[in-house]
Amino acid sequence: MNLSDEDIVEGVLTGGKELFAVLVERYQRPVYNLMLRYACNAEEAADLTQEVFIRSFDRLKSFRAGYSFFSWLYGLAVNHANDWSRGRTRRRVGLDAYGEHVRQEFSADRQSTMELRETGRIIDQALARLSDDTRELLIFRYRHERSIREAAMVFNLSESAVKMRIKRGLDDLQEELQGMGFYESQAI
Amino acid sequence: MKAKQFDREELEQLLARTEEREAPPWLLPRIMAEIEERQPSLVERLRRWWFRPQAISFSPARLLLTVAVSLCVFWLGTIVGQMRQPGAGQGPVLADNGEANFLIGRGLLAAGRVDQALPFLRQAVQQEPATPEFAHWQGVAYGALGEIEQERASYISTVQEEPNYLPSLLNLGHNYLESGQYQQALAQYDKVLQADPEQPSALYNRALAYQMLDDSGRAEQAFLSFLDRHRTGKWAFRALGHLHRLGNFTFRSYRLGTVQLVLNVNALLAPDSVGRRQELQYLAEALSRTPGSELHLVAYHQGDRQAAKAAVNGLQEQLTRILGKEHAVPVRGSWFDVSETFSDANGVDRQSATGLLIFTRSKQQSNRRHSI
Repeated sequence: MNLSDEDIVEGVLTGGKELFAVLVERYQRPVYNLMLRYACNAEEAADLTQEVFIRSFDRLKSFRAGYSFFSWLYGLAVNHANDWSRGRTRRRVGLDAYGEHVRQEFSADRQSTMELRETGRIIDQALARLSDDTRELLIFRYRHERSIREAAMVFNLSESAVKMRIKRGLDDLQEELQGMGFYESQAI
Repeated sequence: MKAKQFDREELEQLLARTEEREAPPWLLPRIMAEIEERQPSLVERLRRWWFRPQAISFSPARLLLTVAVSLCVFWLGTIVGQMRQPGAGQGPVLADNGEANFLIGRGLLAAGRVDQALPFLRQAVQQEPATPEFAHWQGVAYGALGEIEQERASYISTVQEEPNYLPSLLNLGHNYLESGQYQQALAQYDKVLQADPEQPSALYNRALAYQMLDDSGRAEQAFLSFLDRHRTGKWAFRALGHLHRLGNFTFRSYRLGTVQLVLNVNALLAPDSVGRRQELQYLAEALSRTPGSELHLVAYHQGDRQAAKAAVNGLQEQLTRILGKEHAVPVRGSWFDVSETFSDANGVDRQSATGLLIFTRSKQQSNRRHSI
């Protein structure tokens, strides 16, 4: 049985609140990661994720059928993260200084894992140097594969503004990656 | 090396490919527990009461739908209820069997849930202390959690049980290296290399350990030894950087189209064709990945033009033989009786009395130049 998001929302609204667990299961990961990027702290990110799901549960009646539940939820999450962020000084992910460090330089099983994950780590570090709005817009568009139209609704922008910001965001990301010394393939 | 210029599509792909972390497993039960405790507001309860169904009617379709939804809700409720059982989330339920605990632990470790993996792996070791693999992976989990002492103890117990268990010997070396115990690290790496002389991590870290001990002579030899066997990947380029910092330019990196290649220049310039052969094989392999180009070999020999020319001719001849008659890559040669100025792996300008420059040009570029 694979209930659609809309069916589940309807089921929850008619009293079957246990069904909400399915929505949490489906979307906790992107929401948690969104919060993690803002909070840079796993515990804080989990608390914020919980608050977003509780808030979405309370506001479920405002969800309109025909709209993507994920986009609706993500919009709530982005707003919640921004509200949270305004009241705090954000701790940015620190960049590791380029250079030698024994622990980074070596480790057998760790070496291969590090190599595999290195690109992802560098991208995440470069993303962390962008403004919150730009970073989240790029992630929503490409990591979550959402349309320009959905991005416009989630980030409360016109579609042309979304396109412009994405273009600028990609340029900024390019610049950050180069600034961080992301080199062309070093392998044969 | 130069910073990479991404096009838009590449950037989009990189963004799409990066992975996200799993949410903590206790998050869903915690959210649902809070939702369970939430009572609808008084207004909501009154609304529901007011709009409750009052007409009694019978419809088989509606009855079936109600039964289906009830079963579904019951099923989900059972799952959520199980998750909320007292004891759930307070500690893992360990299996009675060591193998089962080990497999669960390995699975959790692979999923990045290291703190959850550890109790299973610890239990597996307690149940089957004589199985080296279990203690080894317990050590890996401790290492991932940064518990260096316990990590080391695990590997030591593994090698006590089975002295030739290579993964633990290797990781024990890494553990010593990370702890600053360089002599012990070297001893471990030597044991690994006795069993597997090609092992890249042991070869590389051995050099690093010598470097940390300020023994630059041995460090240099060890990095050379690493590059003799391994030319690809970032560790090869790092080894090259170390060697150049130490003033050893035996190996140099060359860019052929999109391929970056590390070659032993001394071997290439040596009169002995046997020594050159291996390096030219690497070169030929790289050329096969740069179609539509021509190769240029430029030899430098300060004060001896004939020697420079002989070096290029020897290389041209031997490389052409390796590439075969049907090869599509023209090999062009030039020679100069001056020293070579080049930029080393760390971007520092250097000068060498003898040297070799290798590069490719697209055939199109070359043709254009000729037509001018």
